[in-house]
Amino acid sequence: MRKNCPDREDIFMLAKGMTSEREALAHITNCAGCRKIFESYRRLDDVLEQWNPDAQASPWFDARVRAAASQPQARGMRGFFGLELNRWLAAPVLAALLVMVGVIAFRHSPPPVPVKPVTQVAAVHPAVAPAQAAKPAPAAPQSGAQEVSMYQNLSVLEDYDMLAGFDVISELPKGSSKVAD
Amino acid sequence: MAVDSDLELMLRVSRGDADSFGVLLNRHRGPLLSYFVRMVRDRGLAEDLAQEAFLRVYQARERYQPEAKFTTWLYRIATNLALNAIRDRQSDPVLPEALVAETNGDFASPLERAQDGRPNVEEQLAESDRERMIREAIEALPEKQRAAVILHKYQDVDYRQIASILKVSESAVKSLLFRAYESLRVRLEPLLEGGLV
Ligand SMILES: [Zn+2]
Repeated sequence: MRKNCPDREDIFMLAKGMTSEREALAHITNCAGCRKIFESYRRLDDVLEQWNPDAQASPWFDARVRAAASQPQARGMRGFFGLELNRWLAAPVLAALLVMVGVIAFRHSPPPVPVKPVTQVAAVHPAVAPAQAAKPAPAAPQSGAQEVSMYQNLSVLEDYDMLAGFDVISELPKGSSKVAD
Repeated sequence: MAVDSDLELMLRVSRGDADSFGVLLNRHRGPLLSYFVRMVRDRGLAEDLAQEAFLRVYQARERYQPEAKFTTWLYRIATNLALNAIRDRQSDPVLPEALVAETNGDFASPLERAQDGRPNVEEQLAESDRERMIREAIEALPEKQRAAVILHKYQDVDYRQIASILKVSESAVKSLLFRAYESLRVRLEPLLEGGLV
């Protein structure tokens, strides 16, 4: 840089349009060293434009804001839902509830598991509602007797008596309704 | 049909018009979320913070004074939230940032990952080497420089607004940006054709 060259900060200001000092602009046009610095800031701007992280909002974004806003004296999203609860605890809580529903259904089957508990979970936690709503309700687990009967009636297992000679199958109770829970 | 200004919409929100809040939400959701993603990196945390920022706007609707641009107010709330989240992460006694930088995160729990702000597997796959270098260079900046660069470069916020958001003078913003660009120039040298000057 020559003695009368503007300092880097002035060149930066020119490159960023923060100033339009004619004298400095004229200098940059005629000074190769300063022009190179000027252009390096422009190139840096071009490079920075190549950072485009995914920032797509989740489908329940607005619903969660509205739900929190509708609470009287809402304490804030993080306070309201609890720290990280919405993201890290929703899935385990939901899974635990579904397991409980499954156990209850297994013990009292039939009738099949009602869909209601899932929608109740969604109502308690709006963040999970759209994702869960898209999934079908889990099928009710079969009772032990029904399951054995199903295996016996499969076309592949037509010769059930012959196949029952195999160790694994012989351990199955023959069509008995006395099947352990 | 004329498009309502943010200011008009916010004044209607302050009078109890929920539909106008919906319009504001729709208009600023994307830009605000992208601001948080660049500020805190973690996608889930960014979404939480963006929702929190909108909630705070809604909660403060009755006190809203149309003195500054709506986006200045929105980004001031957002910047405070983002900087607090970054400070929380840095002060986490369990996961000091230096340690986090040395480990590859294979054994980190989701909660730990949320706290340390490292990208998850999908985020890593989606990110090119170039983008990673740029992100790391910006993340290495002091917090005000980082906010100034992101507001200026990616959110298209003018210098006067940035000054108001960061509560500094306009000349201080220009100085913050100059120092930030000087650091970025050095860190991103491999990406700059022609090398350093
Ligand atoms: Zn010169």
